[in-house]
Amino acid sequence: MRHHLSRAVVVGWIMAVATGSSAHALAPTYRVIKDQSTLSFVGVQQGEQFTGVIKDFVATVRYAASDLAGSLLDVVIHLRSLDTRSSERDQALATADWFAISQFPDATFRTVAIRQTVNGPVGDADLTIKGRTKRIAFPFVWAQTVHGATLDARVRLNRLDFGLGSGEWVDATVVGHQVDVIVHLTLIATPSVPATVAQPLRR
Amino acid sequence: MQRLRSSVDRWGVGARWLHWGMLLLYGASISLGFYMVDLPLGFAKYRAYTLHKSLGISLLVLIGVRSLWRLIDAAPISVVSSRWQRVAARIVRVAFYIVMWVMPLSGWLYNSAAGFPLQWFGYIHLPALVESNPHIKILAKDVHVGAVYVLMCLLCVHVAAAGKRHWIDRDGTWQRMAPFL
Repeated sequence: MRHHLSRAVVVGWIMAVATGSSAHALAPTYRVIKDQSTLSFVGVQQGEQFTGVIKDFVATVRYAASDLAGSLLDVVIHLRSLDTRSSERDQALATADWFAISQFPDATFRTVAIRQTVNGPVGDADLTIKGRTKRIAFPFVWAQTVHGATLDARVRLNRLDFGLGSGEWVDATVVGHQVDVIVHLTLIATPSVPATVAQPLRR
Repeated sequence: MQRLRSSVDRWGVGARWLHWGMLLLYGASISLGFYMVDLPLGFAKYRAYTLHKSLGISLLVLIGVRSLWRLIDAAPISVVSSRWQRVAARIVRVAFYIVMWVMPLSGWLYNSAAGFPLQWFGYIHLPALVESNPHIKILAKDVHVGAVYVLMCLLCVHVAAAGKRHWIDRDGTWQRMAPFL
């Protein structure tokens, strides 16, 4: 009878219904192992590829294939840590024509939904660079490991969607429009807030 | 009748074109070099560097051709009677050749170590000589910039000597190398 149920169980039900995972465990939270994770991109300058690395980013990762509604990828990317192995190029990328880093020091990536496809999970995410937000599809490969998981993804962006390379820099023979972003995260499972909220369900 | 090869008393068309053509290209490239370094970061600076690099690659090819041509083509017989002046002229000439090799090669090395692509007017792509490397970059830059000043010093000596021979000795030196005579 309903009035005999403890308050905690009701809260647990509400959480479970809200996240659509009544029959499964809620998506656990993961912590990024920094020295085993990379966020990089491949651009083309004068027809020659160059690779950039963004060393400083903060990622919030919650994922379970059984709890897509409760899953989330949220990354704040500190662009000052951008390194293309060319100090001149890095300085140019910081200017207003490119990332305008003093005005927009961070880029953000946040999934609004994660869906399962025949090819694996795909995040629909809002990517904001230089104050411009674009909804992108973010297919990724999730592999469970002993203590956590790895996430690998490669997405192709058009730099012009974010106003990167304005004025004469629009010329694709100078800098290609397509930029491939490559993500490799090594993740370790952590005790998480959803897990503790889910506790009442197990009583 | 203009002759490609040099004769006993006159430089041929090949040597003269290389001499004056490289002077023009070096003038353009060095002027651009001094101008571009102080430009603010932006597209104009990028374009200036790209053009400077294309001119530099041209000069590298030309010094290759010129060195070969110098080996193939016999130089006119020297009319300088002073032994020390002949020796001095030879030292300056050898130094010119060395600097004209060092200049574009150090620029290429500098560009490679700085991690930039290298193209000849957008048509031909040249590989990097080394991986991106901050230490080599500084060294190559110092050599590249140092070579400019050495080249300008050599040019002063060369022009002074040629002027002396033309106006004081009046030994027909201008006629031997003049571009359109």
